[in-house]
Amino acid sequence: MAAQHLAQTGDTRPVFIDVSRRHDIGKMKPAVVALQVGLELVALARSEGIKELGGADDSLLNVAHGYWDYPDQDDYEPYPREYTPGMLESADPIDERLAGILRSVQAVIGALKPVGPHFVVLVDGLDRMTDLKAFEQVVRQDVQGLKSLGIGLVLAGPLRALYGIDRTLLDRFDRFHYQPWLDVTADAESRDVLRDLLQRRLSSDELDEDAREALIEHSGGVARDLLALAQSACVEAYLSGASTIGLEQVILAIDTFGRKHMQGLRPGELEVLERVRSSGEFVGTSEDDLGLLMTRRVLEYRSAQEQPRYVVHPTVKHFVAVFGQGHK
Amino acid sequence: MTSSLRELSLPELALRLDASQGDAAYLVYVVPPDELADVAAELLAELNGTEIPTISIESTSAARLLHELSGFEGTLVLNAGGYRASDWSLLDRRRSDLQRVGPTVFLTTEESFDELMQVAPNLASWLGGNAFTRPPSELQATQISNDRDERRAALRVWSGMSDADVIRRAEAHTLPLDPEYAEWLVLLGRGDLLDE
Repeated sequence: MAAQHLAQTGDTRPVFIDVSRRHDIGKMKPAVVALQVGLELVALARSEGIKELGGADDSLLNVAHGYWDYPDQDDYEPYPREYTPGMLESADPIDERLAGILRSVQAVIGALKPVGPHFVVLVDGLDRMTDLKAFEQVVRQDVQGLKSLGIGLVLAGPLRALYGIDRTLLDRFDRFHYQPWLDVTADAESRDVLRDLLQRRLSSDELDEDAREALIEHSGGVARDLLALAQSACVEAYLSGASTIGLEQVILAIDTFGRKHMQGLRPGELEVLERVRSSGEFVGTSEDDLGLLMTRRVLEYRSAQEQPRYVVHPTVKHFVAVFGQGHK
Repeated sequence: MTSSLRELSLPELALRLDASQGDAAYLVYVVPPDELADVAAELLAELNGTEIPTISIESTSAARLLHELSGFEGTLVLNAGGYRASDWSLLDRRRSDLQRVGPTVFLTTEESFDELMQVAPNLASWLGGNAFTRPPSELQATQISNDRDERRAALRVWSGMSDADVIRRAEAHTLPLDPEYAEWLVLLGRGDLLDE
């Protein structure tokens, strides 16, 4: 607001800086404010197309972010001798090696301008991270660093980051999309999506209708599980010499999948599963509870209008019911 | 435990691996700890009778396994009986390194598989429903076979004769009448010689 008022005076060019953005104000010391004013003026000069600043820009950047002292050209040793750290210490300091990497990436991006003015990188694999602290570091450092270079990033992140205190991590992203499971029991459109997915792989001559519907029902709306069940049913049909995949093969595939899904469960987890099965009640705060979500023994369905709905994976429902009867 | 894994005999497992050629299929076969080495050998024998190229890796840790993996196409038999939670967790994080054409079967124990199911959700997801256990009847048959082998070895030591010597002398009607020799012939599947 103050900057806008100053701009209206005509002969004054206001420059706004938030000194806490580049430096941890808990470590404030002389020269830091002057240095940041200098950096902001360099940025202004560059945005105005003024490139020749007599080396003052490099000098300020070196003091701010640190630099390597290179030997004289006459020296035999070609490697840099000594590193002088920068004065600015961000509250989220960027790893020294990352800073070097980002400079190189920036140079490559500049060279690639004719190929594409903007890059968006789709990053897969981070969803497998179980150490949320390590994931947070990646977001704070790599993601923020690449974003500052103007690179768009789409990350497949760990489901765990959605729950509990780790959820604050999401604030670091501009946008966040949750990909829920398809609610095949409540939503006809979801069934159609999965029906289409199956039909692209198996024709109606290869998979009969009852078998197809049973596969969709027992997938719980998880595309990956649907394909795994269909693949198992294919193998069952092949080994039994059946010409089409029928209900018999699908039931065998569902049973085998469910048996596997029941392994490794602790008594407390079985009790939670039975509670979800019988009442749909799921708290989802403890590590064990979250583990059941991560392993898809408990499935969460979300819609814009309603509260999340929880069910046990359809392939384990009757195994859990047997456990429940034994504990009444 | 509320349910056990589906039982599958070794020949059925071999057939299933055969049917999965060309796919990136991942299977687990659970056996008792003291059966691991025998099952690995028997499975390899089953697979070697087919056209399928097969290799077996017995690694003491997942880190070693990742070091030893190559771009081999065919069936990969991994003895993972000694894998603990940290091993499965490593494979879970580095699941992409396991990606290959052809079936991969992890031979492991119930205890180790439970740990996989607790700490490796991504690897477990890859398995789909492909987790099986060896039927107890087949295990008993192996146990009986092992017991018979041990008894025959004891009889060889006791008599100072080989299996072939016993059969030859029975055919020549020169075998002593001690009941141990009758037992020996039965163990060799030559009970028919007792009638002669």
